[in-house]
Amino acid sequence: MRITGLEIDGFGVWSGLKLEGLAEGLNVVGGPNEAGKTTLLQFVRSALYGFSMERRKYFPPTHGGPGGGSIDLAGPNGRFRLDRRDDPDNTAGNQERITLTAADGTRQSEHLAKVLLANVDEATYNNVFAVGLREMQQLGTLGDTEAAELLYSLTAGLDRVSLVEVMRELETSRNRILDAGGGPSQVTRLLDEREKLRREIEELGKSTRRYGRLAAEWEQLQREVTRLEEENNHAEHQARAVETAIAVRQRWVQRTALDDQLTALGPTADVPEDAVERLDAVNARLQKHAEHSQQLQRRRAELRSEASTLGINESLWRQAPRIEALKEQESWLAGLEGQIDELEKETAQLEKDLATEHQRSGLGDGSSTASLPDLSPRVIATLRLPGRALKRCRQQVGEAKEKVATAEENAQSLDRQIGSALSARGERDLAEAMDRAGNLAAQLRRRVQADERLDQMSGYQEELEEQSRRLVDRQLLPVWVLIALGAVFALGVMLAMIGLFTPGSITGSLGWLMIVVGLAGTGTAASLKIMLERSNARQLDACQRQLGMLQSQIRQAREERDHLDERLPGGGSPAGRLKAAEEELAALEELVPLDTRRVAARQEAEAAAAGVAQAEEEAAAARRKWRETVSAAGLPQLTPKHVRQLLQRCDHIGQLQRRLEHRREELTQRRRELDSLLGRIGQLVEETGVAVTGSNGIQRLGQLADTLREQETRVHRRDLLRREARQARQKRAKHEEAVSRLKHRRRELFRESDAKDEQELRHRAVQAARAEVLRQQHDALSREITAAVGEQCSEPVVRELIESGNVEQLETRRDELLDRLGALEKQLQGRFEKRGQLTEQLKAQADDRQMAVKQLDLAALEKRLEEAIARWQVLAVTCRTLEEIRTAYEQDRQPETLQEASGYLERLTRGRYRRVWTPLGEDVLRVDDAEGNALAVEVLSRGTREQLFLALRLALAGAYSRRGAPLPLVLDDVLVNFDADRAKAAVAVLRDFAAAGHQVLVFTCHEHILKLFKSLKVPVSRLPDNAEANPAPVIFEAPAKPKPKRSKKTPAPPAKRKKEPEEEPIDDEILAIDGSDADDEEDEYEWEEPDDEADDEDDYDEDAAEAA
Amino acid sequence: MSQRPFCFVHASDFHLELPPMGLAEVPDHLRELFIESAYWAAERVFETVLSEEAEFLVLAGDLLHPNHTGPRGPLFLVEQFHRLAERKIPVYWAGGTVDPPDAWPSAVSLPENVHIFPRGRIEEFLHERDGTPLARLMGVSRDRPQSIRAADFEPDPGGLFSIAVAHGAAETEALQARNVHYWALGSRHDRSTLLSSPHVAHYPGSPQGRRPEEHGTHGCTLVQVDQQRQARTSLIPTDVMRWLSERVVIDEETTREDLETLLRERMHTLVETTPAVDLLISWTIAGSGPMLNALRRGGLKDELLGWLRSEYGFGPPVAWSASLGVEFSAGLPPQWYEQETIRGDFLRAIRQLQMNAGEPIDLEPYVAEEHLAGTLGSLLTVADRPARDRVLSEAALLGVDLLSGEEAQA
Repeated sequence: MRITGLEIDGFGVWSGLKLEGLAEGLNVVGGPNEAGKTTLLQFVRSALYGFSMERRKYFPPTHGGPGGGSIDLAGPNGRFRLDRRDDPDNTAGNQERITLTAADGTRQSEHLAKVLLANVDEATYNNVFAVGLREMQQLGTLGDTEAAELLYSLTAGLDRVSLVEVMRELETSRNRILDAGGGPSQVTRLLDEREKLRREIEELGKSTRRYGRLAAEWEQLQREVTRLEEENNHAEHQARAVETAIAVRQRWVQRTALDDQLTALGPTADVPEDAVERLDAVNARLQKHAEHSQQLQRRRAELRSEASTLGINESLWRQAPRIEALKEQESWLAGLEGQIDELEKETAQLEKDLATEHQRSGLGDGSSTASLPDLSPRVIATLRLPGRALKRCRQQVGEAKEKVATAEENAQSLDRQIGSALSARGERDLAEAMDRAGNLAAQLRRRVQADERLDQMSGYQEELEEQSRRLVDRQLLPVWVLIALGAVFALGVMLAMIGLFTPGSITGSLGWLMIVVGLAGTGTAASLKIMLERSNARQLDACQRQLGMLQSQIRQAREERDHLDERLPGGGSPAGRLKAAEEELAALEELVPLDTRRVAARQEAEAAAAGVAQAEEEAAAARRKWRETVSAAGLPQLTPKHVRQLLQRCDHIGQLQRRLEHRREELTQRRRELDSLLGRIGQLVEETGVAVTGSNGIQRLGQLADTLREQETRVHRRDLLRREARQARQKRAKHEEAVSRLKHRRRELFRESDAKDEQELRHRAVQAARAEVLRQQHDALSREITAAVGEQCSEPVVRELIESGNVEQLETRRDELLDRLGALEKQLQGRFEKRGQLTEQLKAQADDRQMAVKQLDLAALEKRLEEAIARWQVLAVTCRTLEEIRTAYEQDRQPETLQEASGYLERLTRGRYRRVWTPLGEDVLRVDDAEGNALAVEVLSRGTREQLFLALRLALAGAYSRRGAPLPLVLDDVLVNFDADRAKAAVAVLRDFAAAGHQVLVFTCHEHILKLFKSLKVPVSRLPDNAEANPAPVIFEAPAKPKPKRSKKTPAPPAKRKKEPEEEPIDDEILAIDGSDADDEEDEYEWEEPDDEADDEDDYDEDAAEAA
Repeated sequence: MSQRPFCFVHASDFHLELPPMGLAEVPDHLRELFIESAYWAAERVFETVLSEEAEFLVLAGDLLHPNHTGPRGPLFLVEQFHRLAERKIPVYWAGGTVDPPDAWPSAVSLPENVHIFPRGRIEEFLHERDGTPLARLMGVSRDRPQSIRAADFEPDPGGLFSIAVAHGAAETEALQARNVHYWALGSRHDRSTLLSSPHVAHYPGSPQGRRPEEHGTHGCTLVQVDQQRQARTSLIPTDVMRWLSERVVIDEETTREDLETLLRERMHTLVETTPAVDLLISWTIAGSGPMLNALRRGGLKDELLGWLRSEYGFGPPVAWSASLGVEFSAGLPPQWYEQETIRGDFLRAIRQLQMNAGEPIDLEPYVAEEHLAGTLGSLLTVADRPARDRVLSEAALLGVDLLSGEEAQA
């Protein structure tokens, strides 16, 4: 849409102003201060969007008359005139009256006006398209408009989470563990605790040295204690010795007297104490043994005489063992005679059986074995191998014939099955049929897959379309949300109003609070509405991009499907055809194993036939071999069966002959044994000389045994007499020995007492008894003295003390020693106490576990620290990676609008600033200078800031145009703060922007700006004097044919340009006209306090003057 | 001439000064055990010497750091040495990193049956029984952190059984080249044998495991020498508490009840197998399925850990679950790496870092200046390869959780 003309009937200073013939591109209008340029700008806004409260200050017109006017618009839908009049009576219609008329004079609906404005709301239009210097500075007013979305919406993928939120969350967690700013955190707290524990452990480590010092002190003390204890013991010992000497002194004197008596008695002989009694006893026993010895001598002589009178046969007694041995074989002798009888009978029976068997086999009468054929094991062994070979060959021939028959039958059966299956399908060869079916199935499978893929994508497309529709619906917030937000907003406004207008006497101190709460509520409701709308728009955009990609994929899939359809034969659905083809292929594949089996069966039959011939040849050879072997063995031509029968009979006859021979040998042996026994009995009778009367061996043997038993009785009696005599002799010898021993003992007694005879011995015994009495008394005294002395001291010490002085001297010495002991005990007591204290301290240190406890606490703390750092590392690496991604997004995925604005900014600042961008997740702008430094907008100089804002407006207008809202751009003295160079660049940029198809109206009061436009051959019109009503109409000249450097149709994104655009040459004279207006002498990096208020006031004053 | 058979005990690395590590919080009922475990385990070593009627005890260093145990450590050892002295059992001790001979406090006298090898030079002792030489012991206390110089040890020229005692790392080939019958080594906390036949080189490990990585049975080694001078080693357990590492595999179908059953069964088996030793168990849940994802995000993991501790952590015997980790070996869906989303970009960036191990990970911007300069700076650096791999894989999972919204939950 563009403005072709406008007519102001009455609006501020203007009455009856007409502007006609506005060009499609750049239109420059000049006029001095207070010429009514801003009023003209406000009229354009009013004509398009109505007389707002703010703009109603332009009523009534300065020169009187009806308020309002009309504006001529041209667009794709044709030409229209929008007439808007002030009508204070029309309270329902915002105190105005609107008329939209088409070129043919027909009146149009008011809604068409919105269509002409492409649904761009007033706020957007006022901030993007119709801007003065004041609006230019207020980028923040874009806040909740669609334009802000164009600026701040990065292309950030389809994630359903906010990267900024995630990073903020990570940063919070990370800083909780370790604050990047150095503030308190978990790790620093743990480090402090660790340091404290380490100090404590270090302090405890010194306890080892303390222990060493204490131990050394303890050792020293111990040495002192030992020395004192020794001294104490010594003194105690001496005191005890003195005490003992006093106590035993009297007994000591008595013992000395006894010593004297013993000395006087002289040496006494050493006579045993019981010598006299022992002498008497020996004499009595000596007499008794002598009498017994004589009695035993007499008895022995009597026994020897009786033994010599007994008569004994010595030769018979010597042969007694042989007779006993033969007697034991008496039963065997009788058994031998019985066995001989039985063997004779059995031999006769066997001879009879052998004769009978010979007759049965037809080999003769059995008198000789010569008629039997030679069927020895050797002959049988030679026959065994040929016989077995013959049998095996016959079996092989039978088996081979059976195999041939089976294989042929199997092959014929399989042949029939395969042939019937192929003929049913009209095929002859199985392999060819399978190839054809396989190719068809593969193509049909691809065709079905294409359909499935298309179905899936269609489904996904429907989902996306449905999602897109839902998102479109959600572009308008739900009614309940709007109501809720509206309620909050209204409540906020109401509270603020109450706070403002209710007297302080009623509200008290709550008045200000209500205002603040009301404003906060209003702001919150508005912010929420903007955020919700922006979020919905982002989601819709993403959804539509996905939809586009999907449609492209569907197109490709359809082309592939059509190509397959051309190559496949028709008929039926692809799925049905695929199923039939796969079944066909499966059926053919089932025949493959049958075919394989058929070929195998034929090969098997051929092999079996060859086997039959070979087996028959082998059987004939085996038969020849058998015949040759039988002949070689000297046998008649018998079959193997006949040989087997003959062999069994011959075996039985041989067994009978062997038994007969064995019985005959046994009979001969028994007869020899009987003869031997009878010979031995006869020899015994001769040697013993005993007269026997028996006839056979058994009777003679019995008589010998009886005679031997009688002789045995006599020998037994003689042995008894001899034993008794021997015992008498032994007893007598013992008595003789006792007599000798007793005599020897009496002599020993004399020798012990050193006496020559019995009388001298008895005298010496009396003297020894007296000396013994004296010694016992001496010993008793010695024991008493020893007991009194005890172990505490020795007798020599006591003797020395007793001999050294009298009793009084000893008592004095004792008292001195007791005093010394008391002093030493006191010293020892002190040392003991100190040693006890040191021991306690040492024990406490030895048992102290504080070190281990602290070490354990430190270990646990180290573990916590390790875990915290590990967690921090994970968080930090995640943060770092996400920040890299964020940087990449901010670098490469900036909104198209900002990319285009960057190009304009670079041209406007002549390369000083190259890029304007927005950080991810923040609705703020940053500017990169030529060195790549990112700067906040606030730190830019005023002029540069205005150049940035101009670039943004141009980019936004371009973006709206591409979105179907090509609205005219109206700029009111926006170049006023540009220096000469940048003003020149700005003029060129505006010219090129207009040349790219955008209508631009530039109002300026600065001659040098006008001249710059003129130098670029842009027609400049001037406003008439507004002091009078109905001035002459302003008719715009048609602009000279523009010479844009770029294509008009496709304005290339300026950001992609590599070098500065070539500007139209501008006269230096023009640049020198009003250089003083450019006030960009300030440092562009210097912070400036916002002076918008001053600007606003200036503008307001101007406006007010114009309105007045 | 054949060797007279005998046996001796080889132990090392008591580290009485070090408490068990690996738990961020030590429960009250285990504090006494943690504080005393090193001493109790060491006492069992001496009891083993007495009960096995060993000829002597060989100690291969790092028994204690006297400054870090206080007087209690040296006094404890002296008491144990005296027990052996009463039975006339000598002790041969080579100092290690923390217990060089000159570190022993002068205030505590060692009994005469203790023979300490000097620092920097090899000294030899001839061990005899009833006047008959049994073994020649050569040893050296550790001088500086360097490998054991096997070439310095000369075996007995007469073929007597030779024992070399040293602390530190050793090269197997160098040990094998010497004709020493038994290398009694120290410095490794886990039991290991470098050579087994015909000669033996052996690290007995610490009598008590001190961290989750030192899992399994710990103890001392009983060495039996036969007539052919062949040494045979056998482990005598001495640890009073044992670290275990248990891995439980779950699948797609596993529910929480199933997992609890698996853990319960495993726990019962462990307790029944070692009824006399308290256990500290590090659990690893591996496999796949929704239960694994739920465990990985916490919540459930803490609940299970709390349940295991309350159910089995108070004994007897105590079976305390030290940790419960998740082994996420299945990896993320490959299509996530291909998506044009922030998550896809994030995963590709992480993968890039994983593949290029040489690319540094600069985390300095997140650290305050004053922290960078101190020890904290080095602690925060992702230094070695295993740490880098761990951090990157955990970062990938964290990023996926944060960037996937509800998808990852599913």
